[in-house]
Amino acid sequence: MGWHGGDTCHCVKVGIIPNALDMFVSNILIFCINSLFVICNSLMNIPLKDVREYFLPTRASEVLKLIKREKGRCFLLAGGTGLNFGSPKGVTVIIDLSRAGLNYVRETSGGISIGAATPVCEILRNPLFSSYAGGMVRESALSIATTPLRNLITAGGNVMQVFIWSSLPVLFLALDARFRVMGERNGLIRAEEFFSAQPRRLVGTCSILKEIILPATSECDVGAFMKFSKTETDFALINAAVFLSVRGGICKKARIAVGAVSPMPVRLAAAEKVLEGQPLSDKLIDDAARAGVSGISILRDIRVSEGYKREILPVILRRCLKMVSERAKGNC
Amino acid sequence: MLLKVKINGENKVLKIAAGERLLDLLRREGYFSVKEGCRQGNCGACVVLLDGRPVNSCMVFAARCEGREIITTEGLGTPAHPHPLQEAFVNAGAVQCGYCTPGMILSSQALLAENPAPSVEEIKTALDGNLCRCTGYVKIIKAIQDAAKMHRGG
Repeated sequence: MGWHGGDTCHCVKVGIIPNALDMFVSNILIFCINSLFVICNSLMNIPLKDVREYFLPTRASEVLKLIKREKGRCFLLAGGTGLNFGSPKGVTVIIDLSRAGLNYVRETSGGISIGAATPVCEILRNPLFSSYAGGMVRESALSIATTPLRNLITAGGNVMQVFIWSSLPVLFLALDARFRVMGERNGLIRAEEFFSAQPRRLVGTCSILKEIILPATSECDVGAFMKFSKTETDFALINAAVFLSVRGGICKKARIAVGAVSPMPVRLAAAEKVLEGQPLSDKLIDDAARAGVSGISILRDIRVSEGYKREILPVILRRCLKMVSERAKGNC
Repeated sequence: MLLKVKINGENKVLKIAAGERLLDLLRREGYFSVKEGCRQGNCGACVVLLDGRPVNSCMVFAARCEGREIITTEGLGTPAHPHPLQEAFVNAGAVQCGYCTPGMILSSQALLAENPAPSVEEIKTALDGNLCRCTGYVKIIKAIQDAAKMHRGG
């Protein structure tokens, strides 16, 4: 009993009613920890803090020259918002792409070309996208971040550094877009190859993305893009893009891509197979949505469980497919 | 390095560091309406108009603004002659702690410059990058509608 009593007494003294000295020491400790946290936080919030030079080249060829000259210590700056999530070490030179002649949207015989440095807001403003593929480009662009950030985030920046929540990679994968790169690696890269790994590594350090080429479409090539997130401006828990070619009520070609389930966006080949060659109906859409989720591996997410995403994914796919089916009705 | 920039209609040549953010430059130069909030582009307290478009100044390198025009809330009106938006915010009670207000007003200004009669949905989209922890947004939306009406002469 006595031993127990002594032990209890010791606990009371130290843990429950601390004396002034204990309080002073613990306050000092809390102050130190807080200060350390604030200092660490502010240091982490200074991306590219060793930068000494800033270039604003006015041509893509100038960018390539600068990259060669400053190899190993330069950073290609698109919108700059991705720097929130980390920046490379040892960078002393920034090469800003905003005036390198890569800010454009052009209609060509082969489709629509989007310059790599085109801000997302320009995609939203461009009338070419108001009806292109059922409006899915607009839907995807609008799902990105917020108005002030959409004025900064660029099409090229969004696809060159893919984050799990990125919208445009999912859109471009569903649209079978092609990516024109220039520099040491020259030419066109198809979306499937482009997003097979982190594009920045694929393109290489001595090449740049020039433009993204979307295919020419008819009014019966329709699509939809849907982002599922906790709030409208939050990071996506699931991104889905559906692009169908419908002729006489039959789905001739289907492309379905999803994002935020794995590090890179993925095509749902099983769901596409269910749709192709079949007349669009509610039952077909249900079957395709179910097929889409079967066999797909879903990455664990800090915000929601894998099981939750597995439940939600077919629901989003079904909604997206129904939206496309509605858009194709009448003329197709 | 030297930066040539127009701030609130005034041409300036400013000494900047290559990696300096626009937010830090503007506050250093005394434009205190530009507030530092999250420093991650999430809160919108640091919004300024860059060539007429709202951007998070914490996300923009100052060097990128070479030859461009920046508007801060100081450039919209004066205490004696407030801008219609500033007046509408005061009259509607759309200001509480006031920290988000400069960013809100600039985002609203960019919206009304493009769309003089925005719907509530359009206002909400235009303000999706400006967080307010006090008002609940209702009075802010009303203030913008009132300013739009004033602007149209209604």
